[in-house]
Amino acid sequence: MRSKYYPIILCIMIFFSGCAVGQMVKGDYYLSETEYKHGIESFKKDLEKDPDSPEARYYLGRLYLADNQAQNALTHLEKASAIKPQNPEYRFWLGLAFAANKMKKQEWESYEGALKLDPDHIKSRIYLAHTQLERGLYEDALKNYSQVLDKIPNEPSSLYNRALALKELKRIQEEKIAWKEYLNSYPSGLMSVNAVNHLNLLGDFSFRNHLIGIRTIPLSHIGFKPFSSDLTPEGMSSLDDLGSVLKKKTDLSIHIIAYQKNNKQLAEQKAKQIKKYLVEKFPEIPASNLKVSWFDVPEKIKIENNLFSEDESVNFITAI
Amino acid sequence: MKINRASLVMSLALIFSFTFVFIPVHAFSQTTSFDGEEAASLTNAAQVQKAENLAQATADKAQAEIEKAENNVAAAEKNLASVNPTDTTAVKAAEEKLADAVEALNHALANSTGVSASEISDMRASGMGWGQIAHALGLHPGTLGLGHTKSEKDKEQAMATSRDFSKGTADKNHGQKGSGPNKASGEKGKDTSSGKSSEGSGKGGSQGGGGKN
Repeated sequence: MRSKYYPIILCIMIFFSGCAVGQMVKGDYYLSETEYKHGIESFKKDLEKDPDSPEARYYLGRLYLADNQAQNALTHLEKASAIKPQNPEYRFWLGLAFAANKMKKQEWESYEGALKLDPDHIKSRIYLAHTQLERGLYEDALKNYSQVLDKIPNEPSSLYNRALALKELKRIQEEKIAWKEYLNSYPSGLMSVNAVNHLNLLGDFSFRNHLIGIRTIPLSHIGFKPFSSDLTPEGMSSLDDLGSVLKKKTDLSIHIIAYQKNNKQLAEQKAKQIKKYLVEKFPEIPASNLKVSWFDVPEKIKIENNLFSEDESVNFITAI
Repeated sequence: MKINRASLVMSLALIFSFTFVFIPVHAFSQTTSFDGEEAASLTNAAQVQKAENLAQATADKAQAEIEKAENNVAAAEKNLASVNPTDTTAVKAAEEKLADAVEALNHALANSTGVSASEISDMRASGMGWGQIAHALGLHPGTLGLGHTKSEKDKEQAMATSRDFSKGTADKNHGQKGSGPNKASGEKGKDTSSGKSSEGSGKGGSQGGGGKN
């Protein structure tokens, strides 16, 4: 798909063709527009004119890499890096070319090299930590992911992999906090579903996965004010997520099941309060789609082969 | 044996009074209306378990349908790639087959999730693959597992440490920051103030040509 700025970019490319700026504009354009094959042809011609152009080598390597031509990518990125050994970005992409060629040791050394040149090269630090996690160097990986998070507190792979490293190091309390931090930033998608499973397996149900129709939706704990059926702001926020799914699928009915150990009346009030909130906030959801149930016993929750018991909880089950 | 009428009445009266004296009123709340309001739909653990099993079985069946549609798209893509590009008739036929497969998958996803076909097309246009879309919508949740077996651990780690060979970022398997379950469909999430999730790309981007020397 061509950018609407294509004519302008084309003019810049022609005007600066042959110089480093022109090659940057051109290379970034072909990469962002995923026109890898056209880009490869163009940079090959540039290299015929100037075989020692590091920019042409670099972009040609990157275009080959993006086009799944790992060996060609490595050839050109190695040359680019040899011409400009002080460029951390070149080192980083050389590392990725090694990764694509399954040359793990060289990959790791490239990221380390890039970080020696520039300790703030975040991408190199993340990928170095990835290689450490893969090699079972959990303390090292943890250190690097933590350094990334100091700079970019919401970097997703570092948040997730920090928890994975802590799991491997059996630092359970920190692992719980790490999963929650990840889920607070990234509450949906496959990795979030898995993060919730990890958390639940540690006996923490501050987030839970719910099967709503065909979708697995992670939701944070439906909270109520103490001794009442009044929802907390966090509880409402969670129900907003659920409501946003249900309002789009009005042929879907769910059971709202509240558990409150030794207090059936409060359990009933909680179940009905959830229904009331959803129906009022999302008028698109038919009230008849929400079926309430309540129990005065703890909920038994099975995660893999482990059985947990929650005195106060809410579960949602698709009603068939 | 002949039952005395008086003793029968006495027995019934005893049972009746026992019921209301010793069994608390709220015990009836699940089978009768509470204050004239809605009665409970599930009244015991067995019913809850049955409802859960039924929901899971129905979801599994729907997932299988989507997987079938995904496989059809993959096969059509493979077919198109294998066609001789100079054979325009064959290319056109393969393209049409792919378009049909994509439409069927779009429809299957939209139908089962409630996310509209146009929203799914938008996700595709933004560069997401079919697998990423399915994961973002909360489909195929069993893909990873919890790392108890070596293969589960390998799978999770492979996804958690995957490299992006075109952008060099590390966020492609993660949802968008601060978003609820509908963010993937382009709907506004509960926190939109935090910028894009590709922060992890850090500095540099693709400006390597002009990087430090």
